[in-house]
Amino acid sequence: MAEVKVLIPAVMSSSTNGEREVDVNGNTVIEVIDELSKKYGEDFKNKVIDNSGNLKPIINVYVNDENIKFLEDLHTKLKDKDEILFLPAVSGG
Amino acid sequence: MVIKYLLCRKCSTEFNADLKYVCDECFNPLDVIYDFDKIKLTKDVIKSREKNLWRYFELLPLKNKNNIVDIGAGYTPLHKADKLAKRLGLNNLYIKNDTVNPSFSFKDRPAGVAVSKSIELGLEAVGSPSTGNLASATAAHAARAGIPCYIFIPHDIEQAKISQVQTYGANIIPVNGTYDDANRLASYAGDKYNIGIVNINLRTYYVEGSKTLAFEVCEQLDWNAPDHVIVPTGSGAMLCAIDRGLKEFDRIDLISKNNTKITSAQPEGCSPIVDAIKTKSNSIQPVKKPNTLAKSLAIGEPGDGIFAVETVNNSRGYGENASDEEIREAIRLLASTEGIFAEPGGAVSIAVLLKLVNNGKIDANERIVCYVTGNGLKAPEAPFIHQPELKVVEPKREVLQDIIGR
Repeated sequence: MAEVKVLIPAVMSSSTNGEREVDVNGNTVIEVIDELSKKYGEDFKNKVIDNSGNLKPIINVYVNDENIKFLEDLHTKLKDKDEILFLPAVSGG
Repeated sequence: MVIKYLLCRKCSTEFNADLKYVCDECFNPLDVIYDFDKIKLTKDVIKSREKNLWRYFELLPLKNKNNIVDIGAGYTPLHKADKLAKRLGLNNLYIKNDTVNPSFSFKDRPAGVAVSKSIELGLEAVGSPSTGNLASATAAHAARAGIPCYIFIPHDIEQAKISQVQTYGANIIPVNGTYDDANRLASYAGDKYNIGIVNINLRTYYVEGSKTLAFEVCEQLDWNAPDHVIVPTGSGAMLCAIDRGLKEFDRIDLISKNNTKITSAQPEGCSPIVDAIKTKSNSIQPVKKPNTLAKSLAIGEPGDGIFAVETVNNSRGYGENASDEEIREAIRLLASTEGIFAEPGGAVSIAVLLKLVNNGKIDANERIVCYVTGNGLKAPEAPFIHQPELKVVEPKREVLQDIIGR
């Protein structure tokens, strides 16, 4: 299992008991989300994954600053020390 | 204080009007909800006020007028474009000319509201990711407010836009990447360093400024809603704000009815919203590397994309895109018929109007408003691939005979 760091913005941290940096294990992004759900409750997963098992369009997830939409999405593979950043999908004006 | 609360657009959870931009429950965007029963805003009151966007104060998200940061944005001309209309066989064509705002684009509206709100919320610095226009609008208002400003731009935007931002004294962070890379860094910076990023963590308030594009058009049409508006679209936020503005004016009876069709206009090199409308999709396919002359619309992952699609569909409007060459042609046509010099992002509404006319989708008698959102001097190289060569003449009177004749 890869040991990775997850970064949670303040605006989403009510779902992680206020924690903003979390070390978890997982070989893919979806495994990391499953781990976070074990830690903080199924509610976390329900907020970011839709009923079809896809990442909700309101959330962007980046692995080492690369959007997973342009990698292998939720199945993007992870290695030790990777940083996973969650951000609300808010952009443009 | 006329704001009731912030409301989640999806799950309807209510929140206090603080520095908050997504819902705790579902991470969807929040909208400002006003206490319409308490709003006593009449046509006469509005008409008696200064000609800027703050004349609609009760429908903007500020508690105290002392917090307004004003550089004169808004109340731009609604230009009846008779020459262009005649060329296209139309009878009621108007241009909302937002090229003449203080920093030369419509972005002065949302940025002005967001920077004012940042003062009200006690933030000590502001910033924005930008393809250029928002950068200038934010920097100009921050300069007026006297607070630091951090601007994140893709490194390859037009030089004229960079010079403008530098002149306002902002801290510029050129990012070796796309707009979406700049946006991610700005989003992180706002979160980490408690900076008011106008279109991200202040977005709930920011978008309210663009409603004035609808308010003004209705007022300038003698308190009538247009039949059809054509809106240059990047993130979709402005398009949704225009829709909300029309509905709010209807709600407080400042217009008698609102059946306005709202059409989204995007450049071919970055048209995720128009693509979703055309394919009847209910999701947005992001564009990884936008490639368009209209850099101010090069938003590959439009934050309000899906809401913009819903808005266009609900209004019975269209989604249409235009190629770089069609946009160049539109810039030249607008300038040469109406004397309005637009940047590519601003002229895409004209390019799309031409296509809709050619496709038979426009009724000649419709009261149409094309929003033209940015000034041509922001991208002066855009109108021509090859600038027509000029022949230098000797300063002698006889050369005039050859040129002017008669």
